[in-house]
Amino acid sequence: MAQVEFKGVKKSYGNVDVIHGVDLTIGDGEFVVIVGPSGCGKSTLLRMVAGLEPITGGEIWIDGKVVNKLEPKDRDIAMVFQNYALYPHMTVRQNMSYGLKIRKMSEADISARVAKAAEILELAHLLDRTPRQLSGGQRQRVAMGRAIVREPKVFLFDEPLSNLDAKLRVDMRLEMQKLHQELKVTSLYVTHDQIEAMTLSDRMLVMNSGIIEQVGTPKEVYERPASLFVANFIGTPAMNQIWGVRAGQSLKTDQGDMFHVGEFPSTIDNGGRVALGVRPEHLQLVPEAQARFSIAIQMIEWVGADAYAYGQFANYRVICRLDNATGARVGDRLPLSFDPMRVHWFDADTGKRI
Amino acid sequence: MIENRPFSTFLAHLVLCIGVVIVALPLYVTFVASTLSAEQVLQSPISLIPGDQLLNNYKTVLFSGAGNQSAQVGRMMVNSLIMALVIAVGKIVISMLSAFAIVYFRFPGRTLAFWLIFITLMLPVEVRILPTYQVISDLKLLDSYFGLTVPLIASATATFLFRQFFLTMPDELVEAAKIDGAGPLRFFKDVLFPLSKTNIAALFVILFIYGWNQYLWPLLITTQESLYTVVIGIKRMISGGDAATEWNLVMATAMLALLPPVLVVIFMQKWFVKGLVDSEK
Ligand SMILES: Nc1ncnc2c1ncn2[C@@H]1O[C@H](COP(=O)(O)OP(=O)(O)OP(=O)(O)O)[C@@H](O)[C@H]1O
Ligand SMILES: [Mg+2]
Repeated sequence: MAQVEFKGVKKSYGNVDVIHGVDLTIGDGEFVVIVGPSGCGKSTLLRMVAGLEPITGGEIWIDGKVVNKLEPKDRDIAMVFQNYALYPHMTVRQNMSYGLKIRKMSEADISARVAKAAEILELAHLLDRTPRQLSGGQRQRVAMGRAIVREPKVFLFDEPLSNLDAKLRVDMRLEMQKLHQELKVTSLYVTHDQIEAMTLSDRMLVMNSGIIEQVGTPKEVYERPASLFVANFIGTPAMNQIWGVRAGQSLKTDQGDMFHVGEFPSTIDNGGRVALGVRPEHLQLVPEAQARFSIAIQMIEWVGADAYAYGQFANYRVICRLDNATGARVGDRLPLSFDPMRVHWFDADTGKRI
Repeated sequence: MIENRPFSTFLAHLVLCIGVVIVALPLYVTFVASTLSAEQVLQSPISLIPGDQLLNNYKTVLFSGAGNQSAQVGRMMVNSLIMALVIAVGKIVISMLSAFAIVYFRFPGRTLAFWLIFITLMLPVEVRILPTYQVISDLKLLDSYFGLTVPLIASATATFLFRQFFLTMPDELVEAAKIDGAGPLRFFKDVLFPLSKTNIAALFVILFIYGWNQYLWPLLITTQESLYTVVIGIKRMISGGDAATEWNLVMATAMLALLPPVLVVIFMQKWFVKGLVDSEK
């Protein structure tokens, strides 16, 4: 177990900068999930820790040692790949023990470790099969097993669950959680999946085109997104955004519509341009007289327990969570309000939270 | 073609039978001729029923030689075998290693190396045969196994095939091996080589036959009978000039020359077919 530190880590391919300076400390035994849109540099960051990509600038420390110049095998890390990358011609047992064998560990120790990992991952009955004879979920577990037997200081996962079907992904997610509780190894986990990020992480790291937008616990990131990007990226459906200028106690949208807000943060001057963000679940259906604004329902999306009504207010798409019992229909007008404490304010120019 | 139509079934069989006759008849005639005596084989039309000289003929060619030369076919078979094996194994080893270098290492001149190899694909043995002959002759390697085999070992085709195969290996496999601590040679030995087995088997069959059937090169490079390959041997037996060609013995030799490639194909068939259709990744 170990601490991982990024100190001004940069990466460029030729003259294309991909990572623009990452500073971050991951505590001993912490599970950090990296999320971000495709191509933002998540894998690149992970691969630099693994030693599969040279580091262009800055330093990466693992367990108090700079590892920039170390070979992957000397970094004491283990990595799980999206497509598992198992050796196709080796049995599960050989796959798991290959790394240990190269390390010249004794046969007895190897079998002990493999047996232990197989038990944790419920692979014991599959040890003599080749990867071809396994299902996707089982292959995934073997890939995890190969990482576990190494007993590394750091686990690196690059979208390990994204090749699985939805149901299996949920099961494996729970298993990952269990596994982490059991092993408590410092882990860096890359994913596209918000739910995975929210449920697995001690802290999550939201990336956007090579910079870190926000680092925090899932709760912090969800409740206090540091920027418009994070507000948009985390949460399904995305947060509603209405852009406009402050006019006294009201917000005047770019199209000229006005609605009463009440309390503004003191840093927003009269006439200052801002973006107001409010999550779909924080929009309340209220009697007409109390409504701040209203939308006409253009579409309703039923997702089991809830329904989401899609409408428009002054050129901005507004999504509102409805109780299934409401019985609203397409075409209905919804008078809406929100609790001023539950809205988010962002600077219109920088996108930063106010 | 699941429907049951008598006429098309008949037609299909007819075509097949004609095909078999076209392919098999010459072989059969060769076989029959190799069992006749020297007089019988010269009769016209030639008998289509095997004669009684089978053992005699084969014994003669294998152990005492035939025609206007005294080299034994047994000896020639050994020469051919050595040549075919050295060429097949040599080509596979060299081309696998060079493909490995080209695909997995970044060294200066890597692209150049690849293109040079690739360009030689366009030059078959026959085109570069004179310069190669010059080199071998200057090195005083005429009439040696070395001269017979080594110049044919360099192979762009096999290198190219292995390169393509290696390129289909997922990058993650290499990376997983790196993290497991396998160095390049270890990776080659433990991962790349086992995964290439079916390809190697398929290539071995093709290259063995290629080596076995070489004609022009051994013809140029060998002057001693003790180095003749069986393909050359057959040719020498025929060009009798004034002496009569013993066709029964020539045919027996031809049958013998057929044997090793056929055996290789039969024994490697399972792997061979697998290598051509399978991709085990
Ligand atoms: N070998 C390379 N050469 C040049 N550019 C590269 C190379 N590898 C990655 N990139 C670029 O670096 C950026 C980050 O890539 P990276 O693979 O880290 O994205 P990612 O966040 O993992 O995306 P995804 O979620 O799709 O896996 C991308 O814009 C990509 O085009
Ligand atoms: Mg990626």
